[in-house]
Amino acid sequence: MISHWPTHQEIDINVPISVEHGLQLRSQRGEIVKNWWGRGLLAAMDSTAVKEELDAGKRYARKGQIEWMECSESTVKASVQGRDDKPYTVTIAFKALPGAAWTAVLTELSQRLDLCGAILGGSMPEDVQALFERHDAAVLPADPPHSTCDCERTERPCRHMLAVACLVADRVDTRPLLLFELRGLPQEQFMTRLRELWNLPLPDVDDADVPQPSERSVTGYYRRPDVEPETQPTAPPKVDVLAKLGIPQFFNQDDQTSLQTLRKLYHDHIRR
Amino acid sequence: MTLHAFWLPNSFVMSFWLEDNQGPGPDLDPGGSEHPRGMLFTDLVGQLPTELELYQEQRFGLFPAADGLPIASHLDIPIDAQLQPWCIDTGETIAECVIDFFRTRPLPVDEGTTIGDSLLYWQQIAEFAVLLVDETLMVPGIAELEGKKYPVWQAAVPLELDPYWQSLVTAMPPVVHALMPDNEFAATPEALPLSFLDACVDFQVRQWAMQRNPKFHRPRKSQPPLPKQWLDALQAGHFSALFADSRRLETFVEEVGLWNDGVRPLSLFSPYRLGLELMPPDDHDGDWEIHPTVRSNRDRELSVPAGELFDPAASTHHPTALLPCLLAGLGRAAVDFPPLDACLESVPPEPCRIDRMQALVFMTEASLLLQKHGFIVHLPTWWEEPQEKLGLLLRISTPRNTGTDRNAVLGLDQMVSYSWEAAMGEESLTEAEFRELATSKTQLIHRNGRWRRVDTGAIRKSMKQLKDRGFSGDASLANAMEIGFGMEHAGGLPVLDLRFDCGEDASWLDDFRTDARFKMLPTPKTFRGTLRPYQEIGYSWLQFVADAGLGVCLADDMGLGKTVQMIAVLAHQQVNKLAEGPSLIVCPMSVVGNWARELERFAPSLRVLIHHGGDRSSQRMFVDSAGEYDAIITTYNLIVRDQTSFLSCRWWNIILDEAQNIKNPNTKQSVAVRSLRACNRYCLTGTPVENRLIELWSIMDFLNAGFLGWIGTFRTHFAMPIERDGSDRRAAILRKITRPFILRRLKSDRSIICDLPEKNEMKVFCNLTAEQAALYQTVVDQMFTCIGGEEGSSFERKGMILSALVKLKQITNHPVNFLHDDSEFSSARSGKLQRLEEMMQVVLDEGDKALIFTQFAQLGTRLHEKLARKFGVEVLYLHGGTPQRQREQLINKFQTRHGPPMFLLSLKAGGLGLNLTEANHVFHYDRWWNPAVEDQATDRAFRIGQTKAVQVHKYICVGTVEEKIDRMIDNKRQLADNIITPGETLITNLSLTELRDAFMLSRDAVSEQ
Ligand SMILES: [Zn+2]
Repeated sequence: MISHWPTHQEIDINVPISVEHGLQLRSQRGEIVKNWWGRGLLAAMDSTAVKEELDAGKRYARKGQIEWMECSESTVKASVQGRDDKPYTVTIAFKALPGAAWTAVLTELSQRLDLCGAILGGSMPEDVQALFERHDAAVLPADPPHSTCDCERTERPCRHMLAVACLVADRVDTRPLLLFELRGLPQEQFMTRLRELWNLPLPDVDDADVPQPSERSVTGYYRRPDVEPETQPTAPPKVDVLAKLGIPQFFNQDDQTSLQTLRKLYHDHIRR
Repeated sequence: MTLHAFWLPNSFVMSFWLEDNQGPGPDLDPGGSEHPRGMLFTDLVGQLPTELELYQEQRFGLFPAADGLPIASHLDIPIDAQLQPWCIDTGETIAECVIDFFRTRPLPVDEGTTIGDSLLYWQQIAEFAVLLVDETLMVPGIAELEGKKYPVWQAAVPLELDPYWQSLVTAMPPVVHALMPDNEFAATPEALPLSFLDACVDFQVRQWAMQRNPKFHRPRKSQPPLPKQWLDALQAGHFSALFADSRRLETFVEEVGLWNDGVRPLSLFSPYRLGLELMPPDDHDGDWEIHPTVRSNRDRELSVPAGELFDPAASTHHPTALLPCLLAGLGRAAVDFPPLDACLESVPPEPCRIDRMQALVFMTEASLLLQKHGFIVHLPTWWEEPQEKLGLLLRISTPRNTGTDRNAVLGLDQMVSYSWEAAMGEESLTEAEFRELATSKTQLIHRNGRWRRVDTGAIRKSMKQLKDRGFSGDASLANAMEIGFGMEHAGGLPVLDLRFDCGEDASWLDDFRTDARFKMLPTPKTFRGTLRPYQEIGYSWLQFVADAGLGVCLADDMGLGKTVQMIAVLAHQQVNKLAEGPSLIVCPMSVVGNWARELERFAPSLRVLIHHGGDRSSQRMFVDSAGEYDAIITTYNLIVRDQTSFLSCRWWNIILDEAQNIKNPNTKQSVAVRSLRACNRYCLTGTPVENRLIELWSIMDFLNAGFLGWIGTFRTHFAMPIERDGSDRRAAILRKITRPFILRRLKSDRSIICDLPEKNEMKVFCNLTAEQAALYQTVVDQMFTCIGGEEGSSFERKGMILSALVKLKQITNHPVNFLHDDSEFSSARSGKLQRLEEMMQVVLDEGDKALIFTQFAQLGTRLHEKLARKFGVEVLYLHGGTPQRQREQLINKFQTRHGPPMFLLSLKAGGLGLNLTEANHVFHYDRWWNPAVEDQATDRAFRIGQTKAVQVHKYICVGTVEEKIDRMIDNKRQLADNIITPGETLITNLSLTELRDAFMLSRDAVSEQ
């Protein structure tokens, strides 16, 4: 079985070269985003677009023409595969809120655990917008961001920028913290600064609970990363997994046969 | 050349690729889509062991490149290199083949090939999987592959091993992702190694299960319930998908997920979850509280209260990830249960207060939703605990006497007066209390200082139904029960129990011993032996119920002497001239000999005919002569074959021994047995009948035709609710109505233990098969030819006799034991083996443990395989060649409470400090002929520390030299109990005539038909 990677033969002048495993929108028809902040952000980016370009941009984003996308410090950088051999590079730079505004917003947020919980959980009540406004700030950018694309189309924003805009809105729609990042507050700072406001010092335990994805670095592509490995597993504990789990509720409590079978499967192993 | 390996989690295959990295090579062609350094499948195959069974496949992969050419893997890769796709020629293999490969150190790869880091990486994971499985750190779960759900074994990485596992995850060389860029397995670093770890774990468990119990899981036509499918598939040697309609399947997958959650490596997601704990108030009107906590997926014990995370001092002991988990969790949980919003109204968060109605919603609906969404919900223990159920009691008052005392049968067709009454557990409710409950507004009530939930809907329904139908009336027992079951099905309260308000006439329904008409019978004059107290009760009961015209089942545990009790009844009837015809004893072939010997021993005055074997009497002869006997022994097979003979008689008693032989009511033998005419019907069985309902129906229907109703009704009202839905109540009701007809005593009953000797020795008489008899005869003939007319005790004569003795012993064990060949070790070839298998089944059914002794190592080996395969349990085996250290291990294993149930020993037990007190059965498969040695072996189990009565079963083949020597020893024992000459010595000194007598095969030795 040969998976399909773009080859020269497949180029058709009217359709973009297809990308295997490109980044795609979650919504394949209808509205791209569902929440007010997603819509607002998209509106800020596409308000000046020509309809034809906007439709093409949506189509691109839905088809998965975006090869990769990175967001950092208010700027989105992405690579969009169009009709040309070489993909285009798109950047969208958002305007960050001033530090003072963030400080004021976070201070008030720290007293609103319900809003913190909602934001961390992936939603943003409209109260948040009101909260920003109380500090003369807005959670959504008022003006279109500054965007670039290295394509030769005359329309601006071009379909490539719009494809990226759709994808950004799609991602932001479920992750309000990403929106904060685009507005100048890096995601990891959200909790750090709240902790400060709650007077909670950093813990003295290792925060190694979620391993960081090993960056797919090109230089060490064939090598195991130079991490300090735990060379040998420690002596494993004697755990009776079955006892720990208890009897599955989906077994009839009277169904002795199933229970015994399950026990046997385990205990025969222990005896082995 | 460098070898690389890629695990493809979506197809469960390992893909190998050989890279040519000999310098930069100017002849590389950058143009095509083929990897310029990729070597061909044919090159690859030569480098790897054939066991891998590689097949060819072409794949696209991403590789670092500069100037359009791939950079060889051993070179330094510049920072500005780009990943570029190329097609490579790979060799792929399925998970099974690859695990043994990776377990080999060093990897079995052709010299001169460099092993890439990717291979070393997979090797580490495979080794970790071996470690996990060795420590039983695996958990059954469900994996999804191509849209289907497969029951699989997965790794259960405990907290202690998590650091190591995480270091493995981090040590992944990026190249392992080369073939599948940016799919879901790339998003989380743990996903890909976990997939391979799970595959390795799964394969090992299956491989082992297959070796132990090599049966194939065949898809069936009708789909068993999902839990059953799941269990079956987990034991199969290959994957097999679950099958059910998609919604049921989804629910089941979720349930399994909820169950095995805590032990799966879950850092794929957050390792923490929100916990919600519901605390009830102490009084009826107080507030209920929900306390939010953060719990760990890895450690079930860990639970951090919300307040602690906001305490500056205490919070430093917890990782930072707990706080967002708490806040986000509460935010999302409030969507499922809005009152939780209140928790986040203050800093720090407060427990949320709710009222009784909300608490009920939380416990019933919200908690399920919350659990489904990944929260851990803790409800008060009483909520989950089975509590005293609210339901209805059916009170049956004195069945109306329908006339003659022979027909005082309480069948389901009996007219009774009944009344309904509400009850909470054991406690009956007055009608007023019942009405009050029916008007209660909420289902949570605080009663007697405890909270409980009642189903107010069902109460109201039942109230109405009972008002309509009346709280009491007259009907047949079947109809009365049907009314109750019907109300239950219509959403009313469940029928909890059946109570007999027994008058004097019917107190035997509750307990026959309290019935005025029941009296203990004296041991019959002609009975040669002593009945133990419980046997006297049993025998008296068998006669008592027969007088009442009932068919009954004696279901005492194996070894308690069912046969003896039955023989006492026959003797009693003979002495008191109660029998108006012969009795028919129907039993499996393997116990025909035993019955004959026991009858002869305990009731020699009974005239017994054994009707089986090729020379059995013809129909005409049978009919003519049957009346001359008191008892006729025959087998289930012959009941069918000679049905007309048996039909021509009216039997006084029909006794079905091992009555489970008629468990299937539709088999020929069940039908034939039911068609016989008899005055009294008895069943004997040692296996508990109440768990096998159709079997119970079949036996009861034989005993008292129509008693449990038509089989279809029985299925609807009892078999299905009990077996499919696990209804305890129906089981209790069934037990109650069948109890008067079944007497079952367990060895473990306190009263029985007192009656039993600590060591209960029994002889188990077996028959030879025709094959065994033929071999036996040959050996005997040869022996007499050899010794000619020689008398006396010359060395040679002795030698020949002893050698013949050994051979005969082997033949009585099993032809294979004598022939020493690889022929089939089947129970059809040996009466002893057949009997052993039957008795071992009972041992297992009763949860007992047994020692099995044989003197022959070769037989031991075959027995070991046979028993392990037949019963699917581990059978321990200790023989002369077992090293000392291993002996101790075997003994320790057996001595643990849940250790293997069977221990086979082939060595002479003397001189060894074996202490095997876990066993309460000792089987002597062959005889030692030296009582001292035999007793020594028996004493392994019967030792200090033994708390149970030990049953000793000595196997003897009827009509063979085994039986003769057994008698000689017994006689000698009576003469001089302490000085006993071993059987061998006894026999070598016999005169020629005596010898002939001892060795000659008697007519009743063979059991084949
Ligand atoms: Zn463009």
